[in-house]
Amino acid sequence: MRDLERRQALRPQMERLAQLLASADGARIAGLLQDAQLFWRAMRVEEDDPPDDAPAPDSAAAGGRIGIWRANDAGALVREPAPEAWSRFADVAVIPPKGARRRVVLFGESVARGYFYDPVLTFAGAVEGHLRRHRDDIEVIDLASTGASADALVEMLGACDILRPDAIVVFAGNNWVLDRMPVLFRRRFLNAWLAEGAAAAQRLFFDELLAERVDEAIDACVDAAQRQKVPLIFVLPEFNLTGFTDCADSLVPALDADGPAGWMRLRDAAWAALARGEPDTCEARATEMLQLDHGLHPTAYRLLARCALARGEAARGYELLGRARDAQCGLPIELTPRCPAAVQQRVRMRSEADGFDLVDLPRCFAAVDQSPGRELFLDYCHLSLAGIERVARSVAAQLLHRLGGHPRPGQDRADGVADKVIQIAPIEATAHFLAGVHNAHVGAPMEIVSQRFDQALRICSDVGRTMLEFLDFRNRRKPDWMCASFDAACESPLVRRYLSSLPRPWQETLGDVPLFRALEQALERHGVDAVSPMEKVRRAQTGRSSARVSLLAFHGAPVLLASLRRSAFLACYQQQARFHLVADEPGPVRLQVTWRVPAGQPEAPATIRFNGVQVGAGAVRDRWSSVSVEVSGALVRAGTNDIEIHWPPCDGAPAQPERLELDGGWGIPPHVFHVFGELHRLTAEPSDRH
Amino acid sequence: MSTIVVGISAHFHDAACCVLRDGALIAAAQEERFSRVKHDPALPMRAFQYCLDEAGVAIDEIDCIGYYENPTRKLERQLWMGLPELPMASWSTRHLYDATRPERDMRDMLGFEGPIRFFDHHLSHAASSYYFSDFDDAAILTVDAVGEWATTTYGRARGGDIELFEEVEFPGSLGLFYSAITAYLGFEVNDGEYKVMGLAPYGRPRYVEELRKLVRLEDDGQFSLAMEYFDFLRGERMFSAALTELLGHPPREPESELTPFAMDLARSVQAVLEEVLLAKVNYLGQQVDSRNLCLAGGVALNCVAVRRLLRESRFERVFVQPAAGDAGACLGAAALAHRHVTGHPCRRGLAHLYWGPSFSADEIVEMLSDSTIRIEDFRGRGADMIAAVAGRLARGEVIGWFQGRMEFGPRALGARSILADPRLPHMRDRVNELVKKREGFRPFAPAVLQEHAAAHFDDRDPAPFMTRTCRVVSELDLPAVTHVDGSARLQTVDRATAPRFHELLTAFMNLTGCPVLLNTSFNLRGEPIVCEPLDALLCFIRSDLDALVMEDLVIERSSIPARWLERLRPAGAGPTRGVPHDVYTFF
Repeated sequence: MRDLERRQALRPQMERLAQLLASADGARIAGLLQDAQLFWRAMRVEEDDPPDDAPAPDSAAAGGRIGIWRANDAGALVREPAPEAWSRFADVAVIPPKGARRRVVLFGESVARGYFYDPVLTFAGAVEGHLRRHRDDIEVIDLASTGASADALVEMLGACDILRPDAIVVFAGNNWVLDRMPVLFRRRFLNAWLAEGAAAAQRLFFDELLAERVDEAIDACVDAAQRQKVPLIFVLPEFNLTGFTDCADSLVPALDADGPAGWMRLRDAAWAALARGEPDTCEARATEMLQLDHGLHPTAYRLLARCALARGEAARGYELLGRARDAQCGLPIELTPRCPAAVQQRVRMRSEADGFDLVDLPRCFAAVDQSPGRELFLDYCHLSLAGIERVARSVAAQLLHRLGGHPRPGQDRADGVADKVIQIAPIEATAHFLAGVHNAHVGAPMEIVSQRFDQALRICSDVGRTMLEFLDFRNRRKPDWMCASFDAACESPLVRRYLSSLPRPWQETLGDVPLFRALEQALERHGVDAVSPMEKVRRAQTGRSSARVSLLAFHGAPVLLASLRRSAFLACYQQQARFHLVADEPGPVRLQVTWRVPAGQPEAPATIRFNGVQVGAGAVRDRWSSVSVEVSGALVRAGTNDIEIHWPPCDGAPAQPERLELDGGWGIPPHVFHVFGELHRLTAEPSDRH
Repeated sequence: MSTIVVGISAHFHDAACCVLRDGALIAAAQEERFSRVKHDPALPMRAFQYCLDEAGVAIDEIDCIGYYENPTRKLERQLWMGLPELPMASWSTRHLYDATRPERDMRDMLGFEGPIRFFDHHLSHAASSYYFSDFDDAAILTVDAVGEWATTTYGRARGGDIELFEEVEFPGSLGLFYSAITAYLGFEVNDGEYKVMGLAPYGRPRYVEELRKLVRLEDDGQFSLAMEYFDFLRGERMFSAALTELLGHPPREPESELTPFAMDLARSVQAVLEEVLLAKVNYLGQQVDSRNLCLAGGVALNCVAVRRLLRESRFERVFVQPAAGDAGACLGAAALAHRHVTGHPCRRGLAHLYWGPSFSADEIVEMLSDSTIRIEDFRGRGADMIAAVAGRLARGEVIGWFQGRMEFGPRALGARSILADPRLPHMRDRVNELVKKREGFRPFAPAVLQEHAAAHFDDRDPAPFMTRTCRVVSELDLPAVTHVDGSARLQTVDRATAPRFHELLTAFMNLTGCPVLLNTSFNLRGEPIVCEPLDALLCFIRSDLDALVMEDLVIERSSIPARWLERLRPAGAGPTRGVPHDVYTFF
């Protein structure tokens, strides 16, 4: 009761405090109070708890579990009955107890799985193949896991004693920029952003959080090796610097005032200069872009790299491409996996300090003058067969150096990956096909996507059947598992594994229309009838003639863009927003649009095009308004129709520091990209007007 | 120009959205049905989008959004509760202390630019009951765990005006009293209260004296809790060690065996709740000159207590908002917003609860086309479908029944239902084994043709929403829907509002002489009720239902492709244990 009485006495104060927290200053007050609590607690933890009080890293080992495997009484590790996790790990039901063979244990992420080739060909298998050319008594245990975070790596390394390794190989670092921000750091990050801007927040991310994360992961690697008194080989990842670009080039950084418009003009001028063969002009414009975006957008760096490479300055070009790769690391947006320079440098430093072996891919590739491009990679970071082969050879050589092993003349068996692939070209073709799909999902230009599909079909035309099956089930408005074509495609273990390891949003058809077109056109180029059959499928699925359909669910943005912010309306980050309507037959259509431009932007005209023809225009305000557009039946074709909304340019959008602070105060990350316009409704229905 | 008003409840549990056009309800749905997250508290973006689509309006046509509580007043109480820590303990709970969040979310996430009106939580509950009853004058009682400060309110309404004239403030809360015992019995708070009510008839009221010490009846409408027995102010537990000492038994571990103590405690808490409610309803009856009583708030979902109020209070007619929990409060907020915008009350009455999305047979066929599943297609032969399904039910099959617009609120009323023959002695266990996988002691509900209800149940009034219990007086033996104490939670089915369900019941009666079907919600344990055909299909595949009926289409279990079963059946899920047989003999 005394507690209740004390509380009752404080009720007026709580009422007043609630009113203050609900006021315009509320976020600021709450933020300060929370900062005080969080930092107080953090300081207490640091003072009161010695570092070795942290949870023991071998807690999993104590339970006899590592990854998806658990030790049984016979000393073997048996896969646990949780099939949803299996697709991220090696397709191995039982890891036998250690026998006479020397045992190498491989840890890593999707690159170390041999993504796209897995489970038929794996990186671990490639390493083992190379080792066995020289020694029979060696095995590689594959613990690499698609999507593994730094924390997951640390946990698995803590449990690796149960495998009794003779050497540990870790091929990781691509996912460390993607890991969750700890609560305390997130608060500091946002404070830095509010006080000094996004570049300062990013520096904090690189200098503190990422450095600490690398150290924790490396500490776990070194500890595991020291516990077992075995060599540690760390494979430092590289990025597809010259062969991959993502959708960011079509996005504009969220800058104050008329910054976005100025930045766009500079960007267009720079690309034009490059096209005219004027690298100096291009460089000047790109440098001005950097002054505006503070290096938080990759395009200026890419332009500068193109200039350097055009002049034959390869090292400088790669360095600039590295900066493009790193430009958006740590910002609150979706990224593809990558290993930024900050990670690479810290791992090198730790290798020297701790004395473990480093297979430094950036330097390995540079040493043989091999540009990190499409020969070595299938997408942003996943290796091609040639890449896997090359890295596996380096790792095997290092292992042989450490474990002892000498080539035995006449016994250099031809069981390397490349040798296998000559006999099983369908696997290589399927991997290229899946890589094309993957590239499309992450927003790579369709040129890159098409190259992958063409390459797949050149390697083995039989892959065309799988491509058609893929098109069939992805074009149907139903879950994949309901389609016979899905079952047929999943006869390929590569396809089955790739599709089952995708995160949920990637399994949806959000950005797939451009992908479908690239795939159909590639098939047509190789003599396979694809466009017409797939249009037929689409018409049968989506061409209900009497219904009103929302086009917002099937807009042409890549998955990464679609997941930037959660709302009941669509934020358009590109000036031209593309949508698709499938009609079962030609006929007039009515489009209904509810739209607006970002708050504070002046009223300006936007246009609507249907299959390239302007069908509507209207002034768009920073308040929702609705327009109805009649599209003549002559413009509507049976099958897929393209609808584009051209938003007004972004001149005059005012800065909203108060809003930024308010959002930041409540933990809402600021926009990184400029929003051109927003759509609450875009529907199409048959029209009775002719 | 029509007046379009949207009501929203969110950010605690059971988020929901509804839309009124010119004061008439057009659509209402809970977010969980779309997100498939049970009790989803998130801002109901999908439900909002559905409501706009169903009403055929764009966001710029909405005149006002009514929100179901006052965030600043709620924050006062939360800060007060959080003492001595100020103002928040962690980032993850920070949003609870953000009184600006509801408005910011509605602006930023829904994109709404127009006026937003915030109404007190219990006023929203009261409005959700009064405006959707067909009473012109009524006394109003709202009872739940807590809103802003109020946990119970007393009101009167006449001619479209509501006045709440008294309230009981937190921490005096009947909802939290019941929830604390729910937690003590090892059930989940905000979810397991129904289980306690269902368990109660198995026990004896041995702990009534002890539990009376927890709730002190005071003057007028007031009561208070003896806080030494509760811990919800400070800790993460609902009850304190003193309660264990008082009861002389430790709390039940979740999922553990249900002992006689658990049953007795359930019976006792139900008895004490009814006592307090009856006392306060009688007080309300003295204050308000009306024979009509409107009830809302989570406690109003206690249909056993509602029956007692109806029988023992001076009120002659009782209307319980069928979505009496927080989801239904969005209806009240919308009604109040409509009143605010137009100056007039919204249209009264609630003929049915079918306010969710529907899907045509053509759409379902389209979804299933090109797959290897076999469908019995009765399009254009609806009467044949009804006859076929009635025949299956009469043969003892358990059917997934998916028809028309989805229900709003926690009850399945023949749109998203699992149906079975209530006469078969084993049917309750069978339904549990096949699909529900829930505690075996919980009874299933009967749905009966309205015109035959009186012959089988002692309730003379229509009961379309399953909001109260009655006695089974049927000459038929209906073991699957009759609780251990001879009660049942009745739904009467009317031809005008549920024509297809009515047809099915009629066809079943013609075959069997029984106008009653077992009706339970179409979902697996721990999942929300199905919304779309795909949800129904997945539930069908993952359960062991004999057949699935969606509109005019019938799918037999044997026609599910083996691959689908292989891919989609969860590993290791099995039926839960029922009540052991000695429970029945013991009592």
